[in-house]
Amino acid sequence: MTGVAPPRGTLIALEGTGGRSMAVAARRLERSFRTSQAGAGISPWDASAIFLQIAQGGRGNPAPPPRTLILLYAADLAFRLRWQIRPILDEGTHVIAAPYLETVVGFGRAAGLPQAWLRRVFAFAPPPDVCYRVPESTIPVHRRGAPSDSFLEFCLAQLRNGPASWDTEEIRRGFEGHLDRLESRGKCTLVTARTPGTE
Amino acid sequence: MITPSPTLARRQTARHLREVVLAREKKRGLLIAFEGPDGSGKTTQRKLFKNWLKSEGHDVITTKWNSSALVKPLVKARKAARSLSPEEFCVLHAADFRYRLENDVLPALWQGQTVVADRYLFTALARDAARGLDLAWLLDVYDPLFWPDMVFYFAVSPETSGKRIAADRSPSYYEAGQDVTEISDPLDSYTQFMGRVIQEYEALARIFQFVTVDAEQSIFEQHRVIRELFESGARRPWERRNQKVLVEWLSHHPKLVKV
Repeated sequence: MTGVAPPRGTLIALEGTGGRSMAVAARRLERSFRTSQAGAGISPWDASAIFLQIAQGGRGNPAPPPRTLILLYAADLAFRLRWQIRPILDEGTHVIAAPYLETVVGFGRAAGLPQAWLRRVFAFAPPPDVCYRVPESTIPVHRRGAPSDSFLEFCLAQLRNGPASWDTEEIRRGFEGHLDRLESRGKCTLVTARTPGTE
Repeated sequence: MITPSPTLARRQTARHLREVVLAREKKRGLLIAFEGPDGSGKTTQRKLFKNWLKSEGHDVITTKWNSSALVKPLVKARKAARSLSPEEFCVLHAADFRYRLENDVLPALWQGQTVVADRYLFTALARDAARGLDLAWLLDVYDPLFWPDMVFYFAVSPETSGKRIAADRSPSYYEAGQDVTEISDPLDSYTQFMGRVIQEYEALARIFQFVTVDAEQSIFEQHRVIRELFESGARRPWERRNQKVLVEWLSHHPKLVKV
């Protein structure tokens, strides 16, 4: 029997500070694909529940430092790639990964870790076909959810409560700076009301 | 007054921290790693060695592989569900290692304690490479490496390792490498997988110059050799790569720098 492999789907990365804003943007994008008769799946942060389990069971332990948080993100992403992203792409369907690589790289860089190391650790993940930056301002303040909804906010909360000394506001600025640089180099596009599928 | 640029300020801080690290050299503790396949007897030797060190007046702590209170439960649950891919298996253990390094090992060494590691990162390199992952990527995951003062490698054949394990219990799914061998019998899978792991260990032992202990010898003879090797080993200053790890760690522990 000869079969024709379905065309590979598109991997769309949504990156940003907010958990709820990215979840909302991902759902809008998925809806717009459905409307145009194209299937799409969403791969959210912490699909493997690693961070949820740390939040629930980690009390009393020293909070994890940035390199540990990044390796835990890598474990979650390996799970998402195996069980969500790759199977959906192989079916020829679009995948919206919210967040994907730039959110973790942005956090790591802002925490003072070398970008080259971050890129090498995540070399197992395929680069996205499209990358969008989702600003928090896309949804009202009262609907932005808890800090635990967002990878960046989760990490900042851990660092604030940990044994080491971190300027979390500087990390937040550094993170935004990373996304600013990507945007100015055309490596990601800011989601606005005019972005197709995300309005 | 001229304020230094952030880059210059960071460089000045790093230079200052390097000086602090070098000044700590004489007061620092030693890191001794015990490596080898399951059933090689390294835990027995680690316990004997620790007791001997204590009797010699050393303040000793032990750090065991995959033992952090933060990450161990995550790994345990995923192993039970048999849901781990080689990459996920690798980075979860790397997270556990980094967490213990920054929260247990470095603070102890800084305070002058001797740290005895029951398995160190070479366990991960050997097992993950045996699972088919690229060694260069594995070294990246564990980068920046923090080098032990001495690594004892307990050399044993896959058959002896298998026999010793089987005497007590059946090897677990991941211990037997059944996730990669796809052999249904745990012991058969273990022997095949351990053969690969030992090959990787032996390559690492050559590259990184481990001190090899013949783990087929008697328990007392091994212990005697270890003591002798430890006593004859010259104390060397922290390697450059260790200094880099310490500078990164100290930059977020200002209280330790002041002390």
